[in-house]
Amino acid sequence: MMASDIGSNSGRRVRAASTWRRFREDWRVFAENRMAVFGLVLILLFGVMAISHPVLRATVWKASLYNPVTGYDMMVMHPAPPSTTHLLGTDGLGRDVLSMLLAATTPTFIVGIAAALSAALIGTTVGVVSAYYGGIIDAVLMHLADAFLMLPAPLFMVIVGMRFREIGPVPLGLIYGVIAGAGGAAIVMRSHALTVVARPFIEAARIAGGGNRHIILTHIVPHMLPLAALYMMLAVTGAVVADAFISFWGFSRGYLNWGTVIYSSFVYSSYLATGVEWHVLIPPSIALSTFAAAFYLVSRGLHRVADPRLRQR
Amino acid sequence: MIGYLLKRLLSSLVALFIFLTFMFFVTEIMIPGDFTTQFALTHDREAREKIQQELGIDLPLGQRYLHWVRRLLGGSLGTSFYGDPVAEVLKGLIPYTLLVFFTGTVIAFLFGQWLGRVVAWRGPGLFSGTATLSAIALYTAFPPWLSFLATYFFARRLSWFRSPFGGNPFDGFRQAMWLGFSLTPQTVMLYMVGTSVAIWLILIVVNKGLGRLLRRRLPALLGIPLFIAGLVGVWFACGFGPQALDVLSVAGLPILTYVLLSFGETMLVMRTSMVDNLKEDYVSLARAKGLPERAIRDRHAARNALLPVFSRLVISLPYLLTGLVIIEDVLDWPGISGALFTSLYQQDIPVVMGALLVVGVLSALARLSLDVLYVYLDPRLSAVGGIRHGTERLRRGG
Repeated sequence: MMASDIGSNSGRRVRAASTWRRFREDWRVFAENRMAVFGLVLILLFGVMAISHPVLRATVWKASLYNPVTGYDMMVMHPAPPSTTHLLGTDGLGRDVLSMLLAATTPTFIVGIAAALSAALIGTTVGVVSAYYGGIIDAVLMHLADAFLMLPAPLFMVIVGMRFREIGPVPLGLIYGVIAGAGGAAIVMRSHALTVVARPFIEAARIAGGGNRHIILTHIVPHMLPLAALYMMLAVTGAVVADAFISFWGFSRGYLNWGTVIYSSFVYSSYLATGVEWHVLIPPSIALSTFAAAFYLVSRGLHRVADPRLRQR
Repeated sequence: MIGYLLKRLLSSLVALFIFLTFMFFVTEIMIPGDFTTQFALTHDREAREKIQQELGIDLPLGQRYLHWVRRLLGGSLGTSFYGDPVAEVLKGLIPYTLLVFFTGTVIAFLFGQWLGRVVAWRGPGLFSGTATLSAIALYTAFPPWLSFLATYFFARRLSWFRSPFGGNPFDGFRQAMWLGFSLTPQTVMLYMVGTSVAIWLILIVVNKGLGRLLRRRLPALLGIPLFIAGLVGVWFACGFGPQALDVLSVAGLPILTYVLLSFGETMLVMRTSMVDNLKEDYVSLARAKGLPERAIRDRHAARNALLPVFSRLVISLPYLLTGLVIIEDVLDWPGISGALFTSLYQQDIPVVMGALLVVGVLSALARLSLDVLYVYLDPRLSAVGGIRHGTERLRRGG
């Protein structure tokens, strides 16, 4: 009893140490890619943006002027070009662009994270189950994945937006993640899982009497994690673009995001009919593109970590 | 090879059917109301019920699905709720989408792999850094934003192209040129795609012949102008030259935007895999043999480096299609996507399903041709009969 306790305890410690070593090794490979580190810095910057909005509103910004939805400044004509009171100007309804820009960061993060989690979960589950069991399960799941690969996601998200006008960022991200995870991610995960299943330690675990669930959870899934992380990042990029796209068409109104700001630069443009408000259009567009690029850069770094063929060099 | 292709074809048909079924139920269940909802202000309940009965949308969902399946198996796409046959509606739109998708994908692929190859060959530096960063920036740009920028710079400022903004597809074209002309823009577009493929094939055959006879090949710098000159020459010889150029002056904008949006991925994957391949022993061997640098780069390293690019493209097909759908929509290019969104709003289900069928077929065809190209590039697969192994690699992705 005693002995086995000690044994399992030290085993756990050894496993923890090896996990830590593996993580440090992964981080070294990741940090070699300067662009990936740059992407990480950008993500941190967006995190600062997200935090700064409530802080600014609590300290410096007057609520009536800088509310991202109802703010209105009586002292200037709207839309106003950038000035010292409104650093990025205001839109046609008198709302401060900088405030909207900052306020939209948090929902965007939430959409991205929700999509990343569900994409990784669905992709890993489908890929591993399909590779491990093979046969008819594999055939059915892979045909489903092929079908999802045909679906342009924004189209589906537009339908979701039409049905649920007030949909929140979490369900929206989850739905996108399911679509992204069941298509491309599942296909790639499956072929990676196939190479894991064929390795000798799986056979050893089976001979040692491990059940299917045990083998999948403790022996296969840990090897899928870097790839899952890669698809999480890609799902963030896709989800954020799709989310902005449906708001850009004015469909989802549940929360503020950069697509909404872009939409407002067209719809609530000047009374003088000078066309698009460039100072309203440019900041959210750049923020959106940079946000997507940051996660994409990180995914490229993770790709190096996940692909053992690239690692050896 | 043939057997393998047939198997792939069958499997993509199954996937296509699953996709369409899924979308049928999604559109029917998810979107509130039905086709008659849009007449709610002008028609009373009885009139709307009468329309519902005439169109058969008062039937239970399962029955409607079975009707749809039966029609599809019979080879008919049904009629739009406005009365036109869906096939006719789509026939007018497919050439627009095909022109942008086909031309754009080919140009994006060729340009992307060329740039990736050059960047990898040059190694790190100012040029490589700029190229890589701009490829990432363009690839992850919000597609509508990229479309505005392209419209602003290439249509308003530089006036290289005329912007298709304005709704009516004929607004962009020069009316006078088409009035007394026997062909429609759609036919001209199909001819344009067809002639490009034909001249491409001819150039490949000529190149092979040259390689065998003179042990030399056409350099790319000569090949591209030759291709363009041949293409324009054929257009004028066939009598639709001015019209084809007119189409291009409008279609150029969506094609350019699509290329800008989608070449990045090809370029990045190509760069990574090229860098890896340059470290291989066979490249050192080629260098030791004294082969010219260009031959090492293009014939030895690049050919192997292309394989991961293809596997990656399969996975990013939905991303390409997504870009296409958004760009067409934002630029008011009258292709499939515009019809898809409009008929979604109006709940014109037969047209929605027809348009989705086109999207699915485009995706399936692109995948099939990637499979063929993959086998062509990697003769190991067809020689050993190891195609199964090949698909595993294909599915593995970049």
